[in-house]
Amino acid sequence: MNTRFLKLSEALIIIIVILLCLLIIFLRNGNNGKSAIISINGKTAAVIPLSKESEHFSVKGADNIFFTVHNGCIYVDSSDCTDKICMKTGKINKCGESIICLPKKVSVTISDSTENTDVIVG
Amino acid sequence: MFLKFFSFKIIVIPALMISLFSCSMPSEVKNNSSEIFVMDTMCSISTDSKQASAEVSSALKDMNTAFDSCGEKGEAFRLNKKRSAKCSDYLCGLINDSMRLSAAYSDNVEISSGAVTLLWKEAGKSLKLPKQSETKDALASIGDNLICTDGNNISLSDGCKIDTGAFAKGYALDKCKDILDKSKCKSAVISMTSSVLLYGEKSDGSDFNVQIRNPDGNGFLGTVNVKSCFLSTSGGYERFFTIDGKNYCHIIDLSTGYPSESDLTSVTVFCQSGILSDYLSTLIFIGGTKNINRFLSSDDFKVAAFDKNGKSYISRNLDFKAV
Repeated sequence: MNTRFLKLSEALIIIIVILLCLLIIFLRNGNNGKSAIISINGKTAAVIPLSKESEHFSVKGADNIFFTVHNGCIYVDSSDCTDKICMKTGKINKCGESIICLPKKVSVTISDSTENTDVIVG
Repeated sequence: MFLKFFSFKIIVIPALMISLFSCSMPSEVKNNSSEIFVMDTMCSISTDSKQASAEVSSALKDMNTAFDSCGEKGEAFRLNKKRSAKCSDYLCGLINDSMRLSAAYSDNVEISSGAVTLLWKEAGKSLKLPKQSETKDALASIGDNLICTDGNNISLSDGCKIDTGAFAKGYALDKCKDILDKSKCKSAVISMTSSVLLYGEKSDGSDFNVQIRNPDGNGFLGTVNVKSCFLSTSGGYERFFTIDGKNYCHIIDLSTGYPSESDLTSVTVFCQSGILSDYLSTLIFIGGTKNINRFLSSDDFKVAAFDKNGKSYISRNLDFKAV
């Protein structure tokens, strides 16, 4: 009889389970705390958490430009601006990345300064 | 021995999984989050109860109509026009609570100030300064004594108009708290940009973390850790207009009848009443740095204020960290 506390195979199973859990944590928390800050004319108009499931929305003060949050990314899905650069930028999700729509003076930036933040006031 | 190992695995592995899974649960209430546009701002509602969120959202929409003094459909707008009306419980409650505060603290901020504040709202739209005589006339029709309440019947005398601006969001959050108290909700954050309700306790028991936005648009002034409370911020922020190169703030100083020229840029008040936090943040902002010291030592509320030179004025016992 094997008197070792753990058999090699058992240790392996436990390690695999731990790795699986870590992977799940990583997937679930990957975008937690990250937010898209939508500014109009340089002033913050909305702060949207990227942890949202999926959402299609517009922001007051920015007409005819629509954003979508999906899978932890944000992108502009339609805009009636002239150059459509905002749409061409595509999806962003990394801290510091941005989408700019010059004709509309709208910008979207990703910030993780909201990490552990429950609310922003002002 | 085999049995022993087997049971060991059965117990340890699921325990490990459960503990790790629970770590990965978000610590804040994010599961029932929604955003609605009310009271000229985006209001985000996050609670741990779907039903509570729905009730709060519906109440906020009703209050949005009740407190609106600018839109044709607004109840406050209609009251200003009709001069006398039977009002909703929401509007009556707001008017009564705000008059109580102005009587207790200072009449520098009053709900009866509509004649002046709405005059400046108009100026902000047309970008034309009101005539001096207009401002003077408007100042004469300010005074909570010009509002007569009899049950739900409210009448306004002389030229008095109500402007709910300095009270509405805070009062609305008070009503939201009443709804949450009756619900199963244990933790919630309801944010109307400048006024916030932090409700209950976070699941991990930690304090709520609040970031105060820098009025110049660049990042944050600092973070505050607080337990459940109401907080409101007043400041120049984005709501100002420019005529002939001069910036006019959206907060009107009733002692002059002109937009406030406060040397403060941002004032946040933390307390256990929504309407008090909303009212006091405006009052302290208008008062400027020369009046701020007497507000910093109160037991009823805490203040984090900042002036034009970046100097901060923080109440004792407020867990504030500058950025």
